[in-house]
Amino acid sequence: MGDNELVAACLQGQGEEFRKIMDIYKGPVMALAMNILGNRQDAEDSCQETFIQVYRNLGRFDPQRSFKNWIFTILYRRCLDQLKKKRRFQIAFNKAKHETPRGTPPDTAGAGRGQPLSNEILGRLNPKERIVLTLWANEGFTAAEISDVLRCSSPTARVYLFNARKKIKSVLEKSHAPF
Amino acid sequence: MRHFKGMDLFYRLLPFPSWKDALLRGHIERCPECERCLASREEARRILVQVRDVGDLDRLWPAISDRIHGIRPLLEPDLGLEREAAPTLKGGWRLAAAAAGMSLAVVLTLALVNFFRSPSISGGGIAQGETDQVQIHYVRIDNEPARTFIFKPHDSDVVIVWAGKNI
Repeated sequence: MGDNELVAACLQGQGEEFRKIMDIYKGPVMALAMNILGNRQDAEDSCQETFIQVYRNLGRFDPQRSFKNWIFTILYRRCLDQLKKKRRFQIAFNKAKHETPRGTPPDTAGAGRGQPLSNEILGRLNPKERIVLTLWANEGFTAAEISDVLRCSSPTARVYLFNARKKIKSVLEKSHAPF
Repeated sequence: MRHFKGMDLFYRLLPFPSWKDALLRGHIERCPECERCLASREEARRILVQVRDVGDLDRLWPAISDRIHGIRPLLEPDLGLEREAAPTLKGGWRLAAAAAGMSLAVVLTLALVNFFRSPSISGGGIAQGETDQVQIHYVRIDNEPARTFIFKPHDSDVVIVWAGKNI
């Protein structure tokens, strides 16, 4: 059964079909969320919110569009919200401690297991660059598909991707450089 | 490497994503030397979390199931999704800001050019010295030498220059 059929079944009130949708997409959605947010707990929260929002808005899904891209768009929005919330909390926390706010430090727990370098490297990318890099490398998306997820123009997506690839290469080269 | 640094510098100088995109598609993505200075898919995958790394997600469904129980999918717009349209608007504002910035730059440049050029523009045959002195070197009317008169009242800074045909 294709995505559109599953969506139609859900809209006809077959709630169990939504579990099938979730089973298909929970892995890629979780991986994407972990790459954007940098830790498992926040990624799980975002995933949950994403699937609930997907369910609530199934009726608004345009069958002409890729269902996967639609879910990724919603996830991306949820992740940005999560990052904003976290940044606000961090600022309030720093104020309470009479410290200068420095933004959200990358949380290294959970992501990129066995690769302590990963979060340090990903921390150098902004959320847009992270999602673009993940969609390109993990999902094999083209600039046009990435632009569909980010709801931006194709040139803008290509620019984000270029910046992300350049930064990653530069950090990788430095980390492998002999001391 | 030097070649890529040059291209990168040029890329940074370009103001609009569409121009940068043209450079990316026209050169950087096709040039093997530039491509070597960018992370490949394999290199990126090594530092990214993969689907196989996410582990057990079995507890996700019960949590979601509890929250969607009894809810029917909505057909009316949801505020959260409406925000998808925001980037387009934001893009429009960015374009408007860029256009306003460029217009301001043009106006400032013209103003500066006028400011620096104004001392040398002192009128056809009139040369103005550092003092109040006004001199007319030559005036022609209908290709004939003309008579000129200069009048400056004592109690005013106004100088009246009058040129008439030699009859």
